[in-house]
Amino acid sequence: MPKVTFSARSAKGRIRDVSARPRLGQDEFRAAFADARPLGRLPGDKSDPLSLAAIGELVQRTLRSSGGRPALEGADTVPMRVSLMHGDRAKIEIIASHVHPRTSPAQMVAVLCHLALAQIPEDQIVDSLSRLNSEAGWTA
Amino acid sequence: MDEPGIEIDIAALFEAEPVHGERFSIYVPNKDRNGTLISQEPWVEEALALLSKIGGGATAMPPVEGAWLNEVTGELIREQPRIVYSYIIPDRFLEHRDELVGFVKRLGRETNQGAIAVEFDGVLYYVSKFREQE
Repeated sequence: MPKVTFSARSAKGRIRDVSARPRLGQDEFRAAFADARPLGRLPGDKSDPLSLAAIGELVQRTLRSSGGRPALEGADTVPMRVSLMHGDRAKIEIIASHVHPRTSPAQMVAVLCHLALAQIPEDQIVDSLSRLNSEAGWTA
Repeated sequence: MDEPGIEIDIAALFEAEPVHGERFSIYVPNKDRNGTLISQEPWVEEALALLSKIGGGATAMPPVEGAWLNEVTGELIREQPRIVYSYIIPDRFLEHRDELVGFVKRLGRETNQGAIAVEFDGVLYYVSKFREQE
């Protein structure tokens, strides 16, 4: 079966509005609507940190080459060995091979991990987990 | 090769004052959790009035096709919700937040919903606890 390559590019997103609009922000909204359960970004919203568009943007921004194999800027030099969940390796390899510039599967794992963790504010990790543990009746 | 982005101050371009922030929407259902028709229009009217307080104006979309899975019964409820939205003025949103939260909970409670969907700046939320003190 012939491979289909999409080559057309949309001009959407080229113009950026820099008006100083006031913003409430998701945190403030969630404080007001404490009982609202977020279901994630709406379909097609490219501002979702884990969208394929966001992955590509991060790779383009961080992959640097100084002559040898391109490396992710800001990545640890000491690798971490991880065992992936069933089925994830294949997905990662597909994404890594289609993102431009090309990345290794291991680099793609780092990118995905970074984007996922970016959604968790560092200063809220301990508080949030303590609260959830407490609600579940687990003590440290 | 990537083309450079273009930055434009839209507010300045139209000599408009940028007072509005994110978009906030309420999905007003026309059926209850069991698929029974409810009176939708009074709730749309009330949502328009309330959102106008926090955004200076509001818009109600015509009915759209929707579906909601009742996870208790496994029944797929087909409905025709109306989306009422406004681009909020943050200070007014905070000023009227209790009224807004109260409205959404009352909508869910009095029309026997499993959940009410609201959307804030592209993120969809379900509100399913309808008692005021929950």
